[in-house]
Amino acid sequence: MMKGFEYFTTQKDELLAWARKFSIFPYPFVTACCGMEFMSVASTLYDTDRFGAALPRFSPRQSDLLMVVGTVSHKQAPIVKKIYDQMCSPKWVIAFGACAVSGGVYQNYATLKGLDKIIPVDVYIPGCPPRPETVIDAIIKLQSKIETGVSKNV
Amino acid sequence: MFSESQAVADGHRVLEVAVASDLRSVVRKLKEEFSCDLLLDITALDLLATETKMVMVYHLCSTKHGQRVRVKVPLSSTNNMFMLPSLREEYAAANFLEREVHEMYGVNFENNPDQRNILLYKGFVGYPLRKDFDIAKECPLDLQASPIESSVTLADDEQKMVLNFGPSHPATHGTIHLVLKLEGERIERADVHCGYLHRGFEKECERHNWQNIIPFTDRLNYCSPLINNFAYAEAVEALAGITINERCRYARTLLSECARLCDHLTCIAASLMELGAMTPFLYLMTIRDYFYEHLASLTGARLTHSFVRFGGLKSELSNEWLAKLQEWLCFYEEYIKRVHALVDRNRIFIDRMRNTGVISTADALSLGFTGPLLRSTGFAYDLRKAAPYLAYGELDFEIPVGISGDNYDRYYVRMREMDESVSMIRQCMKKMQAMAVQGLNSVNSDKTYFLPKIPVVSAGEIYKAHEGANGELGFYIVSVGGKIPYKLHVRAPSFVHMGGFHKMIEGDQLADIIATFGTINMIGGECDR
Repeated sequence: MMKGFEYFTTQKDELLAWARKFSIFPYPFVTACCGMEFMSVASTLYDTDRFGAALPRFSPRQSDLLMVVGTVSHKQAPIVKKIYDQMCSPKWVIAFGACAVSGGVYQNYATLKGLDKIIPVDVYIPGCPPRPETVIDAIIKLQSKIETGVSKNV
Repeated sequence: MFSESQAVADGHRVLEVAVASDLRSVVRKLKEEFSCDLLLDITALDLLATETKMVMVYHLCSTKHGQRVRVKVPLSSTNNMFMLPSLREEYAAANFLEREVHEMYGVNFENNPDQRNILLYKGFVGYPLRKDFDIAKECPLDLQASPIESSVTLADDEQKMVLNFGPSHPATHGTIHLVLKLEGERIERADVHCGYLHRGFEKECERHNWQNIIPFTDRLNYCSPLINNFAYAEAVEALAGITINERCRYARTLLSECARLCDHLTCIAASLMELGAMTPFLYLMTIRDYFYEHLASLTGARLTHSFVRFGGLKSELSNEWLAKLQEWLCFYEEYIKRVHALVDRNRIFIDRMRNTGVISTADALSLGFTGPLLRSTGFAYDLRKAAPYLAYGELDFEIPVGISGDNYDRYYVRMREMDESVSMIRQCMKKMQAMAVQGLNSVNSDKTYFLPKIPVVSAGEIYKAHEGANGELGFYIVSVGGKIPYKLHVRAPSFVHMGGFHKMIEGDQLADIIATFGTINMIGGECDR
């Protein structure tokens, strides 16, 4: 704001999107190896707090970002779906790691070939497991999606 | 009972039980007369194309005499229905192991009433590890369905509560599902369900060549992938008749201990965080990240290293790398002091950990527990001492043990083991720095160790175990020659520990599950495979 101006104009949606972008409450659905990297991302050296996405809410009802971290097996699928359904709109989904993206190296009877077979996904993070920088990149990408209001989940 | 000729190459004495109904008396004799106190593993071998049809394979161990026994029971049947007696009464560990064999191979166990699926889910059709099962055949669950079959029921007039704990509980690291019967806050009965991370590892191995299985082993116990790498490689090397040189032995020992350090750091950090101690979590994560980065500078990956090659390692450990490692070890010592100061005598911590999740030595042995869990009960059994492999026989180290087998003891055993690991890393480092570095491929540079990527593995069977961070990590491999294994089975410590988890929490308060589950360190990839 310039000196001498005491107000500025914006659109309600834009203001909301801007606020949402910096107050992401993630729900970490940690199943597998990628969880090790998720721990790193959340702690001191990489620190997602810098991006306003640090406070994990361990209740799906309080969170707006579902991070599916690791392999989703057929046994797990109904649980992911239930947690997704329990989240309130607006909500976003990140598929964390090759297994959540496509099943990864496990192309067999036990695993789901990608999280998007059961719920819509906004951002895919490749890697087995992804490096923490890749995750931060994904969070920034998600933030720009939130700002523009484009989401597959409504 | 045994004749001398029965001792085979991998140090096991093999015992064939021709009539399945004799199994229990044979095993009881082994237990009583040969003091085989640990039932390590049960698996089956599918030979449906041959006369024998199916062979049951049991691995037992006597911690007293250091002897290992493999009991084999050939089963024959006309319509592929197999039946043999259960060992539930002899060893409590048999329950989970038999349930796994039942769902994977379709073998039935008499007098074991519990034949529910454990790794697979309710309604799964087929037996995945039979040779005629198509690996790509999926059997997806209805998204509204419950994947498990609970054995906890309430009578009409019972004033108690049934509570589902997990499979996505915020305060457990690992996907585990407990169905609990509660009397107030006290757990009366617990029904443990795992398998939420079953990824078909063993079936997947049957269609990949020896070399390509290495990345899969990384993803078993993903807290300490290097130990999995080395245990698997040693089993294959023994089958293929490959030996490794002295420098490689030391390098593998050093890296194994680095992996154990990272595993214990993760376990302690996560269990402390789950109890609400955020500061030590951040300290421990910081050290772990420095170790990850340092390992990544060597192997190319922070977590999934795939660093082993048959007969050697992917690359040489340079003296600069070792010198830098020394710096990180000093850093570790400084940080771990702070954790000790914050946690050890903390009133809240002691109240949560002391006398919770208690297990006696006798129960632990009967349940097949190994590793820090068994040692926390005061039983000093460690493969690195009991059957030294790699360079452990030449190192000077102690086995830390607990007293009462509770959560506090398990925490402390792990903390002490990390100190021992650091001392072992230093000893290996000293030894390696005194050796000549022979260029990038020095481990392989000696012509005799330069091997084709896919080794020629002769027909045979082998069980090789390393002391993993959680306990005995064994690979049972059957080869018929050729480039791919006929069967590869993992003796996963986490899975066996989960079979005894109910025993540790029954009678405790609901909130004690968090502390107990944390110190068991169940790792999904290894438990569910």
